Amino acid sequence: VSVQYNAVGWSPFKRLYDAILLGGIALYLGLFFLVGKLAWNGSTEVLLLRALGTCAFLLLHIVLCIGPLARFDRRFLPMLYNRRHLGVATFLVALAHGILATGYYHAFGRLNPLVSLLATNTQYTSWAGFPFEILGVVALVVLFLMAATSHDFWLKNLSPGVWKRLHMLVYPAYGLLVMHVVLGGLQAEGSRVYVVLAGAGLVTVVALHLAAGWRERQRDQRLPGLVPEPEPDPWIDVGSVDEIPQDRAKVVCLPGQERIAIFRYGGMVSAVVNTCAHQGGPLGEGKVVDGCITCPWHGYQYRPENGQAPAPFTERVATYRVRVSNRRILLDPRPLPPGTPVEPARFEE
Amino acid sequence: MTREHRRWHFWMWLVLGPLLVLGFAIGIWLNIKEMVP
Repeated sequence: VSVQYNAVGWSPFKRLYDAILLGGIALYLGLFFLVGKLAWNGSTEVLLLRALGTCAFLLLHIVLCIGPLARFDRRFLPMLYNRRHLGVATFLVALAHGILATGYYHAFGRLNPLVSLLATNTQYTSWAGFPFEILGVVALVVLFLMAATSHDFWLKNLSPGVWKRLHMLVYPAYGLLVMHVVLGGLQAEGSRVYVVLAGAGLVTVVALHLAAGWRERQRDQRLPGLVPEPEPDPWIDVGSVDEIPQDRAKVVCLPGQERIAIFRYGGMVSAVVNTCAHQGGPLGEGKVVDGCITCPWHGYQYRPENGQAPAPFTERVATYRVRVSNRRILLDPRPLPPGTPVEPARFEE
Repeated sequence: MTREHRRWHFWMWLVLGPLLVLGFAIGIWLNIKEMVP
């Protein structure tokens, strides 16, 4: 987190991620075009149009599936934390599809192409004639709003709540695109392949979100023997310091309580609530950078010994009392008010 | 995410997810012939 404005906080990883993303898009478009030319003797423009459309639809599926996949396998986390670039790429590919389609189907008449696109077909009561293009246009507007406001500048100025609500519009946009693809495929070609593919995509997105939600629910309800001792001895054994990599955390789930992130850093252990005060990011999946717990979502930082963001920032998270005895970590699961200083538990490295 | 947010998220997908998939399948099943011009 920084008080200075940076267009993009580039890192070697982000450059590699974007290079793989661009390479993947180019490879998909090239392969689609090549196979399409060999297998289907259609026009170049229509083939390119389909390549771009299916590419954007596929990218949107990846965007939607990364979140739940990251709940099952931590290797998806780096993709999750750089999802915004994927979202912007999705919009740009979809925009290219939209421009090409408008130019190809609507630019050769007397009407302005946009007027022709939006106003010519008004068969809203007919499935066979329904202007499926409008569904794509509305979804593209939503994708544009999301891409245009994806930067931290807008996150800060719109406020996290408004920004999050705006970006949740990706789900209605996805629904519109499913129908755009289904109706477009059926009306243009009478092909049921698009129906099957869009249906399979929808089932995948829903099933992954449900499975991830179920898994998180199980984690929250799990009783791993971590039932607090009765007062006045609330200390519970949450594992060994050796289980936690240096500058990383172990997340503890207690029944009926928020998750707790226990960090190990430089021969010390501290515990804070797992939920970032900024936008609810999972602090326990972040690491200690420059002496501060760093949220993996947007880089907000907190000092582990008091849960306070370094000046000039004012965010605070709840802290917990910890002890280390014979390399076992003992935790008092009662949260202290956000920003309460707690002496870190020390141990021999 | 807070515990409450996770719970809300789970129930939303549990209710809406099957409805969306069923709505899609039934909608297509009933109208597919009409959808093809």
